Amino acid sequence: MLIEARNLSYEYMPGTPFQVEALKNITLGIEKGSFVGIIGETGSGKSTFVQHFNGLLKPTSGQLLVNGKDIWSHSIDLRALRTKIALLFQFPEHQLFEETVFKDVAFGPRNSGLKGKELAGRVRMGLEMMGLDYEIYRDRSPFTLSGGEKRRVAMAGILAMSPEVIILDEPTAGMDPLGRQNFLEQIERLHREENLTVILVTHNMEEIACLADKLFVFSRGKIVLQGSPGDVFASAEQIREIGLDVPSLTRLLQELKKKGKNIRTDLFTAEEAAAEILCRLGGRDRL
Amino acid sequence: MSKIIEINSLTYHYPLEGGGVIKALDNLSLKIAEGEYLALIGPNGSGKSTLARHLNALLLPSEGEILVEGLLTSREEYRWEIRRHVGMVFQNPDNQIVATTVEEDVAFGLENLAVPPEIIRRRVAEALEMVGLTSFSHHAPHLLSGGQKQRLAIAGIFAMQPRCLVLDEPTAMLDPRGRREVLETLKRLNRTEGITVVHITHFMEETLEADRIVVMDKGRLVHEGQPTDIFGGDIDLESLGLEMPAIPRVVKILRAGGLEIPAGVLDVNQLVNFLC
Repeated sequence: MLIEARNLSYEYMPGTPFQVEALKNITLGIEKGSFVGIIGETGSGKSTFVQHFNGLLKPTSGQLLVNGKDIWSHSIDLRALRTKIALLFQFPEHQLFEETVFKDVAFGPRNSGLKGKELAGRVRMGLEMMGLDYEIYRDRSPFTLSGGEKRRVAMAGILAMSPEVIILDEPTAGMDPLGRQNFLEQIERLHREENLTVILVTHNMEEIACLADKLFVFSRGKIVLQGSPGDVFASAEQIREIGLDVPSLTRLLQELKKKGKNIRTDLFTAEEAAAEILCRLGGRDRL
Repeated sequence: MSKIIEINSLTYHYPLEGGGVIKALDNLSLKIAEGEYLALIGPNGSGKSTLARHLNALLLPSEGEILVEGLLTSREEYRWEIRRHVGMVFQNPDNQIVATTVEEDVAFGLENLAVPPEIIRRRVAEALEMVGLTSFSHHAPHLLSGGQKQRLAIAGIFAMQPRCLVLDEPTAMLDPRGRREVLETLKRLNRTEGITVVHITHFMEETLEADRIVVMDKGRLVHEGQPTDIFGGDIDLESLGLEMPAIPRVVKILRAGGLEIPAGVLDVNQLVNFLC
């Protein structure tokens, strides 16, 4: 298991009148090379949880293990850990600060000691992994870029560290449909081709249903559901009760099934859903 | 229906640092009817937010004109009246909170207009009722959920008794429940109070119940029509950086596969009714 939480609990401001138990006894494992979705309503503890993965937060009780080692009890180098397990915060474009795209993307690898050609190579790699042409973008000011480009530059800065795991917290909030699609296609490609482990925290159910192998559903600091998107969204009522939603395609297929149609409900693209409808209903009922 | 907003050949240039300009709006004309629910979509950078900021004179036209209830936004003497008619809600709920309790936050705008206290009290109570936050009157706004904060922002504007509400991606940062709450609130304001709504969004599904959808690209208005026109399959939304919502996408494929689905089937219930 690459990342493992064992009975992990976290309290904000323990011992004060403002003490809040944000995570309650979480146990879960994330395998190398998987694409994991974390969903849950605002305040359910998702972001707090993923900030434990690279030691930005320390559990109040319980353990967080990476490759079988407790990142707090063994003398693990947290700096090195953070280059392996990289976290992209919400609205990462607000964190761009350098004069050129090159300098911004180079910031992380330079801090870990890279220089000269090696550094430039990493910057090129990061930018190209996000589909940004190195020659075109390297000398531009980050502040002249569009919102979607800025976000990809921020992401390139993380990829330039050659992480093994990337954690993305609401990476597509505020992006238009095409920007969202392009961004996620790059991530999906990195996952497929580079075997990058991806952990995606999102409010967008349609998005995550198509991408993730496994979903963890948070509510009030606990994991209330887990499994493949098909398994998780099959519990439609519980999903809605905790303030989330099932993708509208799933709703369509589930409604048809409720009306007695023999139909699969675990399909998450319009093409697959339409093919299933044509195959199950088209021939017999209509044509 | 009478017009509440009339935009005539609006062009707007953003000044660039170090000289030069960017044309953000390009000869755009649009009339918005009193009581209409208008959805505004378009890719990032298409000029939606720039247009929205013209509707209550936060920005003024470089060329062309805008009339709100017949008043020119470029005339300084009308500016405050125009801003009372047209209220704005922005994307980030945390940037719109000004007070330490929910009811004080709603009262803020009215206090600035020196409205008598007893009227403020009544209007604040009505506004909180309208957005469903009455039981939170004495709560601290920063402890509300995202959806509650956006409804609070809407209440603050509703209390000013505007004729039109302009919302710039009000649900972009919300979870599904928050989005549902905000959408229901907007529908209620529109249907029961007759308030004109201009709703900018990147979520295509949120536009399915609008009276009219306006599509922008590169500062121009490129399509307009009812949801059935826009999502009927004839308009290439992908080339504009947009997409069809999931159900219209399925309908399009089903039609190509031989099912004769009538126009106007846009949501889950309509499609289920047709298929069963």
